[in-house]
Amino acid sequence: MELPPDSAPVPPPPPAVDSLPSEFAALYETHSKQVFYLALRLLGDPTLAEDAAHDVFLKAWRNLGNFRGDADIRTWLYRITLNHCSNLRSSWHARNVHTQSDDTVIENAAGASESPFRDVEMSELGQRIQKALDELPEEYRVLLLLIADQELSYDAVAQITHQTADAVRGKLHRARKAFGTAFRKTG
Amino acid sequence: MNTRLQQQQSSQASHSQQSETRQVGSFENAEEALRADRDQTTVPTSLGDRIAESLASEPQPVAPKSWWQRLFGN
Repeated sequence: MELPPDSAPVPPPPPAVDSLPSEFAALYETHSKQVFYLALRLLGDPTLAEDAAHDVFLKAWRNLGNFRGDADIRTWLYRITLNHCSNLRSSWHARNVHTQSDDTVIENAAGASESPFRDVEMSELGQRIQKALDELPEEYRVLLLLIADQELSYDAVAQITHQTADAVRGKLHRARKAFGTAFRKTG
Repeated sequence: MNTRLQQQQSSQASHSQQSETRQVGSFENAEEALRADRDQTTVPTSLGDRIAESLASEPQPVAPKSWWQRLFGN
């Protein structure tokens, strides 16, 4: 006997963000934008950034017990995000080693698979910033993205990137200059 | 006098070139441009839902032990 549509078992709705454990929900509310934005500009793709941010918060949840509290929680989340994005980028790089003759095929394939909404999703400023960041060495890109967060001190950025605050200051000077030049080229 | 004027002109030119290099579009510097970009970026609403869904199948994280618990056990 076929059940009428009304009595068919209804799957439970997926839990919403409100159903996160309250402390973790607060952590998510406070830091999700920074984590997502950092991933977005490091990976250059909103879908990949969402996946990465998801994985970062999952890693944070699993490792909350190891968080010693001697560092700021945002510093800790940034470090997880950087490591995760860096691992993703290295694995793509390893997978995408190809010969010069493959270039045309790969270019065509990339054009075909790219989301048609990507340009719509990203504003003009966002697109120009992405292009400018893509021109920079990874170290400069990371430093600029971290220092743009006004809540992070030079010492915190130094701690995240494993160098001294003086080294951060010196490199930032060059990074700003390189970014300015690259940004103007995108106009 | 002429030399001093030339020096002043060249210093002004280099200063304007420097600030032009640091200036990013209508923004004062790179950080300001990145902040504006971040502020206009919205986190996908699906992200929170996905995390909540994933956490539902995760065990509760273990609470960190204090130094005396680690030393003497429980």
